[in-house]
Amino acid sequence: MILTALAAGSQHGYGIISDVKAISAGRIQLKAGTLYAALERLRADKLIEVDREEIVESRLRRYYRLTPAGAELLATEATRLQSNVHVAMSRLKPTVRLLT
Amino acid sequence: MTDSAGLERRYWRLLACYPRAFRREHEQEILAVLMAGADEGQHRPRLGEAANLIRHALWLRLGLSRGGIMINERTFPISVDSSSRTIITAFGAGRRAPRVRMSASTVDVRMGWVFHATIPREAVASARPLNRDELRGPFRISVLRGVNYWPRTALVNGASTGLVEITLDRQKWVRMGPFRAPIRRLIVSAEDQSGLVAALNPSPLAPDDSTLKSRDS
Repeated sequence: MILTALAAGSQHGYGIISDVKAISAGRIQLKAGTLYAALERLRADKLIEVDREEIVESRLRRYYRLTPAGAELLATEATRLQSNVHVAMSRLKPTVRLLT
Repeated sequence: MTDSAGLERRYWRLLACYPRAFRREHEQEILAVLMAGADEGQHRPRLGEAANLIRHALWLRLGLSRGGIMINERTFPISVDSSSRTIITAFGAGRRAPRVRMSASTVDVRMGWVFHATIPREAVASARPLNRDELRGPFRISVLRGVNYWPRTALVNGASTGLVEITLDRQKWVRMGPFRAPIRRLIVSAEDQSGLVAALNPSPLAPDDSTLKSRDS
């Protein structure tokens, strides 16, 4: 979900939390501890990187963005999920027809 | 949003649970996130939020952090025999233990600064145990250790036993020292040869990785 949030462009920590909440329709509410543990891991795996830093209201705001490897991984995962959905829907079709 | 000095001070205390190196890197921005997410008039950290920070801080201190992403990560050390350890360490390849680290989505192979590959698990077509006799070309030279490259094949090993051949379904670029090179096949020497092969070839009955992902909310 963090990679998905960053797919549209660089975001800072609070922006990622808000975006993940929005794209999951409120089901996933990342907490700060979880977010930064995940960001550390994604950075270590070279899937994201720091885009820039800003100081806003005397506080550091660090923006993260996808690396090419992160974008590739997200695309691969999206394709895999899309394929799963396709299989599930094609198998459900006869069942749905029977029910209607 | 609130600018309560008391709340900020309490968050500082919670963040003090994190290791110093992590605080130096992230303390300011985590604090900014916490303050941005605070309700108007909030004076104390929420219980769940405090527990979450303490839990991740403890995991980091104990070296157990899973990055909050997956709980099924496994690490397979690359085997290094005693005669090779000195030379591999001398070249700086052993400063960080050579290993294959598997997460829900990637296979990450590293031997110090001399080799690093992050491969999507989807790209792994197959994995199998490999006898040294099956090696072809210059890889047949039995004393080869460290990182060796032959067109589209990389040999990353510290021993000539426990070899695992990983075949990819597409070309992947990997880092070899200062260079990048394409591979379709990767051969590593694993301390747990059968374990690595089994992990790379999951049973079709195994639960989907997505069910193993933590849902920390």
